[in-house]
Amino acid sequence: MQERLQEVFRKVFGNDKLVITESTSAKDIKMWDSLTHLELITAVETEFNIRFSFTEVMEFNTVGDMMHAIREKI
Amino acid sequence: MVLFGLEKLYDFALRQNCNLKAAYVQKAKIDADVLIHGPCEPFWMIAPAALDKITGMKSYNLALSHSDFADNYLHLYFYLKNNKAPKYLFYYVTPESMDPQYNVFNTYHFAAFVGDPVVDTVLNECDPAYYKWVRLPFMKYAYYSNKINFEALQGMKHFIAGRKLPHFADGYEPPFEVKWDNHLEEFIDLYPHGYLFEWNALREKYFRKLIELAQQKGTEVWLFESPVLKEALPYQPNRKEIIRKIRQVADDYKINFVQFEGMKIAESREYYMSTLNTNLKGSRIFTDSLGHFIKNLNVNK
Amino acid sequence: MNFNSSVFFLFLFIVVLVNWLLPQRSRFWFLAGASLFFIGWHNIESFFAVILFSLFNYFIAKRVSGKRALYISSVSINAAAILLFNFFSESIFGFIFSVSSVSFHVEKFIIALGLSFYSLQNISYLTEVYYKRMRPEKNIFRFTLYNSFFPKIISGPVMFPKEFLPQIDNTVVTKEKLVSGFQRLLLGLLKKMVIADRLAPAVSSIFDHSNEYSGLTTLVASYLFTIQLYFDFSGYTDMALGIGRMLGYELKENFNLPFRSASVSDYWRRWHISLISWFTTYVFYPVAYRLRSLKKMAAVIGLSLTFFVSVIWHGIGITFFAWAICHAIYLSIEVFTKRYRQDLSEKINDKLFKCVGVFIVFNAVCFSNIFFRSDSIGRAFELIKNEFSDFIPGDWLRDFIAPLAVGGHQLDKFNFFSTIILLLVFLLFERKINRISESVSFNVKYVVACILLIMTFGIFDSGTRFIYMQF
Repeated sequence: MQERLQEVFRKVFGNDKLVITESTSAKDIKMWDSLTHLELITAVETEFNIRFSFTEVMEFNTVGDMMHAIREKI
Repeated sequence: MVLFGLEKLYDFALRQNCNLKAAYVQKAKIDADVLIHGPCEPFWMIAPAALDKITGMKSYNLALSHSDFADNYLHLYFYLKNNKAPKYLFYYVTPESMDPQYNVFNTYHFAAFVGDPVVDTVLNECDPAYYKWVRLPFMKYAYYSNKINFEALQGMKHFIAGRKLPHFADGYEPPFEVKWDNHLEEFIDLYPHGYLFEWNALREKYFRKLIELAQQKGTEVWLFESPVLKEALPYQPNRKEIIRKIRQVADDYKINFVQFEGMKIAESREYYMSTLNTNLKGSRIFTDSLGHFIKNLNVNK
Repeated sequence: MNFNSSVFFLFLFIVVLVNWLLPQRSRFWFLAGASLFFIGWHNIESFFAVILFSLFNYFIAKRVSGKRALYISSVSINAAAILLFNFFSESIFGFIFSVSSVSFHVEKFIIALGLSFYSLQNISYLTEVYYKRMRPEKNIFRFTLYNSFFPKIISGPVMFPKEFLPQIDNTVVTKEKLVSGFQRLLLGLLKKMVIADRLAPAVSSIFDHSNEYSGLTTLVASYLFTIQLYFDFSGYTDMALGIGRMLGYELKENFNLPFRSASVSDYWRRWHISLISWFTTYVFYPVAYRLRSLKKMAAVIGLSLTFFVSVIWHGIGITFFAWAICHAIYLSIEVFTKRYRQDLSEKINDKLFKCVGVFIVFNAVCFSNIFFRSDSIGRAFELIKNEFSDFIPGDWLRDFIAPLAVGGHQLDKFNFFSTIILLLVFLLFERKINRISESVSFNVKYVVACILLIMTFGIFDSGTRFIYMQF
């Protein structure tokens, strides 16, 4: 799953060498800010065919948080 | 501690500044026969050199721009502390002088002289917000630091260079080369129906104190006004009334108030940069008239 | 009672001392009382307003959880309060769209001190409780303190309830906190008195008076205004944070070296951070979340709406609209060019790319701030027109130095250039200065230097009020 997620990150942030871990957060990726956050969320939702609630979206601080939420849904 | 040392340094530096009139007149022996005094109009208008040629006496211009009666009073007090009393004091006064909207008490002129009881009394009355701070170390300079820093620095420069004379040795500063400063237009925009001059009690108090101080020393006081640009008069409906009140004050001390009415320069902007301030051309003509007036006065005695 | 007045320092000394001596559990009573006193000193209307809104939101919050109608109506009441407040502070009987004045008119009548700041906090509080993300506060005095805490009442920072309320029971006042709080307070005073207030006359000379200055003069004035606004507001924030720390509270940072931003979106993460994070949480995300299927357009619509709300909050006026439109455009451009800029940055020298970015962002921000500062839209366009015509002054002294130094005497030049040198030195070493002011050990050199600079270059008389105070 981490690999699939990593592909999404690479596509959204336009960086083919990007490597993510559970502890990766907005601080580590230069382009990850409030403007791109939702773009990323949408891409993740499409990839895994799930929907996040607003509260979940607001509470994603790290990639780990996101993976946890994805696991619960699929 | 540091502030206390800094205060002493500023005390010293400001007293060395020849361009600070308050300091200069307490150090230099000027001993003029004729003293010109008032706000910016006489400061930029009356050149002692030109006056002396006509009168044959020595004159000094004690006036300062933007100064009110209390400001002038303290400068006269400083001057008289160190110099012989002049024979004549020609003091410039107009209805504007009585109105708090015109000119101010420039507290920072006197910051270096806090501690002198006369200065303290005036400061306390004219700028209480400042005066309540002066006992704290350095606060007497900090409060108006924007005006003081430069003067202190200049004072140090004068001390190091051993300079004794100010940039304008006889106290007169020639007017800027401004053709017309548009103040009248701005004034009319603000007060299209004219502006009523106010008569301020504190102004009157120091007006009287200034006359009394000069008279105590045996100086003959003359009040004077230079011609006002005629086209401005319609916007000053109570000018005559205030002039009458000034005359009443003059009468109390049995002194004269000369107005130099009927001079040709009042008719044209060619001689003015604002309603009251003449330009260089107008200033020369007025100084000439004033010179002859003083000469006649002295001869007739 | 402004932060740089003598009465305030007396008040502050007593409050810090008593708060330090009091046992932890009774501090909040005392601080709530002191804050209400501070507000009441400003005027009695402010006093009643803060009590009224605290009571209202306190009682609503107890019942609001999960009740949609109550939630919407109570949030609307808080929002309406901000609107009415802005409307009435524009001019008592003024027309709502009358050309705005965020003016810097010193004696502008402020009806309810800090209302637009604590109303935002209340909306946030009701929202958190409504969505069950937190429990309502049980103690009315604690809640009142959240609204009225005097270091932040005047102009923020805006704190989320979760950031402030838990601190109330955990205040620890140590010697270290007193020292670093005091040093931070001095930093704020320095920024306000030695830089912002010294710049005010130069800015006012160009923005409020003549309109015939050449392009370069106008451009420099617009730079100086943005710098003045920064030093004024961040100086205020430093003082608020310093005072908060001396009382045992950590308030939120509002600025993070904004003039070093290399993109406008970066700038908005470094300028007025507490307000922006409120807007991001309660306006931008909810809107953009609902529209997220539109991808990039969702961000554009979201941020346009955010700036629209920000205009209403700042004080409804055409000049603010123009300012907000500028930023909405800047940010939209950045949303669409993000990948392109990323590629470009990899191709050219990193330092050069950053420098060019900083330069462009600073100019863009200064340009938008012409609207922010001008008292009418016509005036703003006039200034912009001037900026792009006759760029080089004909006579340097008459057309450039004299208007900016507000006079052509040696004294005026000395004052103007000393201000410029002071601010350049400060901006250059800002990171270092900030670090020293944050240190917990008493730094004698720093404290003496601050006091000396304030005493020799600070403006004491006619200190204009903090620019942000009327919002």
